[in-house]
Amino acid sequence: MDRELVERAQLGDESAYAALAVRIGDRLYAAANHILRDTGRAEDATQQAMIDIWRMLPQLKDPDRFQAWAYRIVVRAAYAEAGRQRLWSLRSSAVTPDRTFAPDHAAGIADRDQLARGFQRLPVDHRAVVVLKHFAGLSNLEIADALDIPEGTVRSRLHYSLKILRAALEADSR
Amino acid sequence: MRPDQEIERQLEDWLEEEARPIPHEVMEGALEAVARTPQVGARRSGLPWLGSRPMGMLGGAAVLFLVVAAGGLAVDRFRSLFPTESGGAGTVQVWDPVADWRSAPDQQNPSPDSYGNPAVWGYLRSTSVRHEPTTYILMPNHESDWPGFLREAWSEPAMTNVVVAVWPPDAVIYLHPTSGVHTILAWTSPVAGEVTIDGVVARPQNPCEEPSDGLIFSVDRHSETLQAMGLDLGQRTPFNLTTTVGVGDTVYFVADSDGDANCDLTQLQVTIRLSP
Repeated sequence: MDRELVERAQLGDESAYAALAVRIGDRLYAAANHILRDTGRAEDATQQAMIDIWRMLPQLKDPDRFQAWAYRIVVRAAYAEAGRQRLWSLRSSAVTPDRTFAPDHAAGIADRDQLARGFQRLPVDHRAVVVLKHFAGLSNLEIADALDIPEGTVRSRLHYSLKILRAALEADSR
Repeated sequence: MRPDQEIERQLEDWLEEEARPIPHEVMEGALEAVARTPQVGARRSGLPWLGSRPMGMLGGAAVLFLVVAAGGLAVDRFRSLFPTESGGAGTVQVWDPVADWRSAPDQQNPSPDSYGNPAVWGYLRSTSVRHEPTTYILMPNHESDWPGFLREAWSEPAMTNVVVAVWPPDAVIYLHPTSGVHTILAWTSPVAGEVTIDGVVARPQNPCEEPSDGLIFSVDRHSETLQAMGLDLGQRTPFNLTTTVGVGDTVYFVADSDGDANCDLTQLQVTIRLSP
């Protein structure tokens, strides 16, 4: 990410922030979408995160860490959306509707469907760890920092998630 | 059995394949909102706030709708990331129910404030439709069983969706009444004097998937209603009032379903400030 753009945006330059937003918007939205499995809520979370990033930018100490920091904010916005949804649907169905991912009709890629099903079974906080690790490319330490959890918790969530995904994949091959 | 690395590779491929670009209207909406949003702790340089709006003026109404739908109180969201005055040692005493919220395992109902005064905050429900404190009872059940989320709630297990909850990421209290039963946040004053009550109340569940009538939010001192307002779906309303309290006087923030309770989730941000 362009350090100069980040520094200009930190000083209140909206055009610099717009350029940053365009560069990172797709990744943030995809991360939110993966975590929430709901396009509408992912849109809300991403939009809120982009506003929050702008507001908080002067607080970012190291501009080189902008990308990891931005993921941190979008994950928090996704958590807020997920939590809001749970609160709104108290004791009714807690299952998040999956409006995002239609069944893949392509033949020969059953694994992807199984991955989708396995991923859907993961709790939101586990999905967040998986997305930050395997989509955003953050290190375990960066994930721990982003989510305010111990690094050991990151490892255990990744381990558990892999176990669920493995079970989903291998269920299909039995 | 597949090696972990193979599953991880498949997972990474799948995450990339499933990634969709951000919709234009979402990007436009965010940038429009940014143009109206000041930065926190900004270090202003000589750079002007450039007049060019990269995405034009499209979507202003959509932004407003989305921001409201996303929580309504987004502009104030960052309060949770910074210390509030509640419980501080400043000369002005301020109470904030989010800052004072006691999380498990230290939850209490009634709950002390951050100054150490006991039984300042109460999480209540009514037993009738009357605004009569003698009919209010404390919520008996504390819930913190949503791992990964910061929200906690005081609830009435005998009733559906009767909760007073906290949501720190947005720095808001949530109230959800049910038909004929109000949900109430109570502040019992540990001081005597004039207090200013500032807040914003909103109904974020918009659109609602079920038929929904109005909701009445009121601020009461004992059984006297100081201010009341009807709230439609998606509506967000600020309120401000001043009242005189004695030690032990209670101010009630009451969510009244006013009929059905469909989509009556109510967001409340409030601070109570003792006038110097």
